[in-house]
Amino acid sequence: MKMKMFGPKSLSVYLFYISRIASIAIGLFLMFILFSFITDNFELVDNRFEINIPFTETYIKGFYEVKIITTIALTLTFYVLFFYFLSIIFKTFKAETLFTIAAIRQLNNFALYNLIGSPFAFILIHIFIMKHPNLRDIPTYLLHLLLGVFILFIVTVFKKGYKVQSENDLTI
Amino acid sequence: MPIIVNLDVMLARRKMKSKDLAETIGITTANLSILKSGKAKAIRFSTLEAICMALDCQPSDLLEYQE
Repeated sequence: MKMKMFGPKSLSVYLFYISRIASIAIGLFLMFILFSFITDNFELVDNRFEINIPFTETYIKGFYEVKIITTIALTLTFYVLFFYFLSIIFKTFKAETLFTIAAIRQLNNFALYNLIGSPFAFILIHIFIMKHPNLRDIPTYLLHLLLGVFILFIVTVFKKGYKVQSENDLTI
Repeated sequence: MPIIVNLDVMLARRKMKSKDLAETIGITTANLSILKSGKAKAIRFSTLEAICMALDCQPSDLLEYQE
């Protein structure tokens, strides 16, 4: 079965909804954690907090320290925005016309978010907040950098595609 | 653009409306308007042939080069 990648009734439509739902879900999860701390909806055992996740039999656990809670909040915020930007890209991909100025702009924004946001988040979390002595978790951030570079290549392709499409549209 | 499309002149000579020409040659009035206004980047030979047939003219009647 051949599935269209772009345009209406394509894979991009499903990926738009999946990434948008992921963004909203992570956002709600973040709100739930913060709300739990604000309303004391957690257990404190040996300086470790435990927040029960409703409708599941799992907990969020961690040391009850400001830096841990801040790190959790920042990481989740990073991924709320990551999936939101990704959903906007799939939204442009599901449009009738693929090569548009809006698509190029959104791809560029997503690339910059990965190229700048990722190292910024890494430096902020691991060096300033957690003060880790080693480069732990760096592979995740390197993957984001790699993704950002790859998206920049896609931006170049889209710019060329837009130019060719415009000329074709103006070929009578 | 140095290439001028003298479509309006030929339409006036043949007493034909743009809308009728567009319908005859099978392109939209919007595209015909792009052609008339000089915004077109290129014209297909098939389109040029269809216009010449509809207006009973030569390509040189339609296209003019100005520096």
